[in-house]
Amino acid sequence: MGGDAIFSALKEHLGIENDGVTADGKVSLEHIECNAACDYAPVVMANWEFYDNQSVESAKDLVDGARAGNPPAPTRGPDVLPTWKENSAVLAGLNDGRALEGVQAGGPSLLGLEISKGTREAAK
Amino acid sequence: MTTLTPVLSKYWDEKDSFTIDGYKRHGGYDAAKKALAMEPDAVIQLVKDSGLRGRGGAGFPTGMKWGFIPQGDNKDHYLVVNADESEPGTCKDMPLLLANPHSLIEGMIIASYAIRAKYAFVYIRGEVTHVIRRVQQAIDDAYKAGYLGKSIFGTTNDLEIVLHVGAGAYICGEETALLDSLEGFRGQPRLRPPFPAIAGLYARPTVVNNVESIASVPSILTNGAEWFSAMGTEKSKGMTLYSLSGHVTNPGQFEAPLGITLRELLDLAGGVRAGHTLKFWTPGGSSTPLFTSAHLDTPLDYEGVSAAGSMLGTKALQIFDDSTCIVRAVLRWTEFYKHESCGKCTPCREGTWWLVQILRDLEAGKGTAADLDKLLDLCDNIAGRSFCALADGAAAPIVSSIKYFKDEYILHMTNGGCPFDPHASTLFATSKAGA
Repeated sequence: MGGDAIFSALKEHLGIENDGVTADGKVSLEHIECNAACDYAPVVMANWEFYDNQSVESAKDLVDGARAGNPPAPTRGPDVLPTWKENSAVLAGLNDGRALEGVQAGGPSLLGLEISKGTREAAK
Repeated sequence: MTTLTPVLSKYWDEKDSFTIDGYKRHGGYDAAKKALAMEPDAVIQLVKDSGLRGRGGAGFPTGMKWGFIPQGDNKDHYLVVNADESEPGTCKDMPLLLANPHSLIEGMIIASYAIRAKYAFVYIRGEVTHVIRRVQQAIDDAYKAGYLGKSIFGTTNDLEIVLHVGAGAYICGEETALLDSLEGFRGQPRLRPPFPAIAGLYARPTVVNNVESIASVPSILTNGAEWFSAMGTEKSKGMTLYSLSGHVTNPGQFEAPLGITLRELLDLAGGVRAGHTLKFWTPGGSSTPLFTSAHLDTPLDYEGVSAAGSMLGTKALQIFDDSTCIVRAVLRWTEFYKHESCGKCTPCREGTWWLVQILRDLEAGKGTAADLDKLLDLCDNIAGRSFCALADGAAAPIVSSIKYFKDEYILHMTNGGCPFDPHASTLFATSKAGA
């Protein structure tokens, strides 16, 4: 779908290999196997937030933005990409109050529902 | 033409579908109140009568599983929800929890009451932070509303729900490995018997159910067993989420009665992507043997898929078109299984490692005819010879791909390399923006 292309482009762009960290310590890169989002493929995760339907360009923009302290917002997640430290606290069980942020569902999640309601036609 | 039946996904298009207010607007938590006014055994019977079967892959009847919990044994009982969705292709539970976590909480209240459990756990994978936020918030709000904790809904029943975040291991989706992990040990499968219904979490009677199975329960309480069993086929009742991904025009979730076919689903998804034809697909995730265009009209229910030589699994339909190299696709899956093998059983730990080496050679055109025999021989010694189904899953795509596409494996040998351009299978090949 494009995951291989994105991953190899990022390795080259960042100058690191799988499981590597950039010299400035800002970006680490890891190959992930599955993130339960195949209908949004190719997907990149940053700090375990979803960046759906990625391309080589958008993935480079993501890491460049993250290094500059200005990353784009996740596609299905909080309004602003939390830091890794902040998200670690969420994974440890602390409620950061951001559950209300972000969409309730992305387009592919709603496809069948919208077709059944007639608000969207089955594409030809 | 089968009609779509959104039940779980019915209100996902409302902006606040994941909030307790959004859920209650459409009768949310009425089913739990109804259940708590019934006898627990009557709730189990209702779920048995509905014909609901496990949506996590194995398809075991849910009501029967609940019925296995010994009653009057003066032991604590536990309900554990498996939200460790992480099989390649599978992507139904995470969108469900993102859009409507309260349907799971309500289902857990009903199931816990039925099996007389006062503690219930959600074991969720740790790499989906926003889904975790939504589930945690839903639990917090349900406590505030008096639906969880002591004397829930003003009755004499108590229920505590704990959200446990896993550390990212596919093996922890295997129910006994999940229980080990939940207890704080390294996640590795247990020998059965004893089954979890007798000695599960902390050696107490435990029901382990998939997210979608539990989230389906409130609708059965509300609408009745007959309503549910009117959908689907003879032995596969009800509606379920089918997840289409890969080389389709519009990937996404389709909630339909069990027994719909891929041909019907592809029609809704706009078909295989423009300019290409269907080559192969998985009916239920990467661990289910592959299908080809010969199986377009196979009814996608537990019996239909099984009769055609595969498994319904998680109804994760990954579609691959003619631009895809079968060897490369199978290699990616095998790398996944090698990475995720927990290492407990030698055939799986060593075998998946060997499978990857051989497949890499084959893809690079360095394989020989003997390698194909060796692959099959290895698969024969891996599948069925380990504690859990991870090993079977690792063998499934290899054996089935050689069955249908042996010529393509051989072409890699005669061609001295892969005859496919990997770029042609990416989405960027047809659209520059990447979507």
